[in-house]
Amino acid sequence: MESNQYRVLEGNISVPYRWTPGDIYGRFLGGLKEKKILGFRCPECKKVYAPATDICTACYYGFKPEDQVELPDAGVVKSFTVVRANLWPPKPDPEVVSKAIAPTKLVDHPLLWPPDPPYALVAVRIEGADTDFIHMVKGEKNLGKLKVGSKVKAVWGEQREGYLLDLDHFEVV
Amino acid sequence: MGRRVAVVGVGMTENKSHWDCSMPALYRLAVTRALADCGLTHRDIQAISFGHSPEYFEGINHPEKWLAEACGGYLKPVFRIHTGGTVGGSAAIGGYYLVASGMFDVVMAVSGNKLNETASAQIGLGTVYDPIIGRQFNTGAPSAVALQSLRYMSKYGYDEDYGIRAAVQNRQNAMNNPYAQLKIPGYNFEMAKSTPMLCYPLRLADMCPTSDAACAMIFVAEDRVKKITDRPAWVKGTAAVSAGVYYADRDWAVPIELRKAAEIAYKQAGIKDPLKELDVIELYNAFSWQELVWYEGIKLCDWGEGGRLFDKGITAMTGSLPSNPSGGVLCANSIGAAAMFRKAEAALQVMGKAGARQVQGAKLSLGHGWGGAIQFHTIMIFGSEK
Repeated sequence: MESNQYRVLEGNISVPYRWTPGDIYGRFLGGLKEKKILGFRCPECKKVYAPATDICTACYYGFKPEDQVELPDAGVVKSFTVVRANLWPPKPDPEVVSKAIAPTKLVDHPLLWPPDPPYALVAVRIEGADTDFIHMVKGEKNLGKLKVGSKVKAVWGEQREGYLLDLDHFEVV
Repeated sequence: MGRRVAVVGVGMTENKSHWDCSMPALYRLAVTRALADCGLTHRDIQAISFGHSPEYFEGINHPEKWLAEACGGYLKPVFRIHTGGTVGGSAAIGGYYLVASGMFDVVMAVSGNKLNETASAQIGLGTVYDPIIGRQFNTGAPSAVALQSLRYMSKYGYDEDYGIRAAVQNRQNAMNNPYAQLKIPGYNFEMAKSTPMLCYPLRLADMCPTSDAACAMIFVAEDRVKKITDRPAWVKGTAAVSAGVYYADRDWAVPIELRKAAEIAYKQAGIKDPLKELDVIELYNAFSWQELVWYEGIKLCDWGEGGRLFDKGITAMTGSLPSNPSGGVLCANSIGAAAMFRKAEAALQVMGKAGARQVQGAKLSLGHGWGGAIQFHTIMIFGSEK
């Protein structure tokens, strides 16, 4: 009998999930649907958080709806990287992905696999915020102009349903 | 044993489907309630003992990354602990160790889960089994505990109704607990017995619900206690015992690892006759039959006598040693918080702060936790006196 010592047993795990945004993240996502970037101002330290978070990190303050502030959909690049190579394994069959990520609205978004390169991952200081919104700059024309300090503006998706990528990407202005 | 340590504050969220808040908001709710319970602020907390059960339950890997600041852990030591269903117990014991060791004076232990974020917790549970020999027939916890339950029934000659009766006792107790999930007015034997059989010998009534919840406990060194509260719960004994994973070599009706944990904790607490000396117990009875099996594990009686002890009514709210005044895990199971709820409920009882579920005059209590199929057990014993 062969030893089978170096056999491997192959497997694949697919589990559906549904994550609860709650009130604060929920408001932020609702804002994106309406082409608005909403921030949340801590009443204790006055810091404005965008994107949303439930808690002011330093103050341990729990944000309430009344802390919401509407910000422009533009800002300044604080840091970035242009992604030229895809280091991920090939995207699996869409059928497999749809099973892995049950809320079907998310399937169209690169939840587990990044977009096809090239694109830039950017940290954008939204005007009026004190935090950096991690998002994308896309398109060779934009990538060529991208610098720390570049002014960028949101490019909104055509179909917006209250997800992070309702804001499709930022473009350099 | 290290330094003397007491629980000074307890915070619980309701056990339910929390579609109203995110995971960080849920943890923060438990923590802020614990702080409010004893008049401390997040600035007073020196370290966090963080619990959360398998990541597959919510699909959020490395959950302490998302939740450290929600626990008040910003710029503080945060320790992630994970022992499956008893993680809340291990996180509580971890919090106690951090203070007893002398390294910290004020420590927050917090643990939770949002089990409704997956289509079925049983899928997540499937991934805890051995992928080589063990995962192939998995249908989650119920089928595993069904094997345990039938083994217990057949070994000692108990009929099917014992499980149902234990479930009814817990469900009736839960009516007094504002944090319990399963609260069914007028719940009785006939209602329980008429529920569908899911996997023999377990009916729907023999099983716990699926909950979202978090629980927090604040552990404080002896010399800080008096300034904070005049009703502390002193830690009298703790034990965490792991068995091996090779289930094929085990008699599931005889939880020797729980017996060992109980013996360790009783020795620390100076308890010789737990049935007489303890005033109230909170057991991790995720399934009805475990109520009886765990009686034996914690040495309230000999092996095989759990059902007969139940018959005497000793563990009813009107008995001399009430079990699960909260309704237990049978009425609220978030897994991540469930074992900490047992410890927190036991602590609240000796603090005299258990509200409508208070056992009058409770001075010595035991909180239990169970996790990893039959593998991990935790016990904490609390006293109103140092």
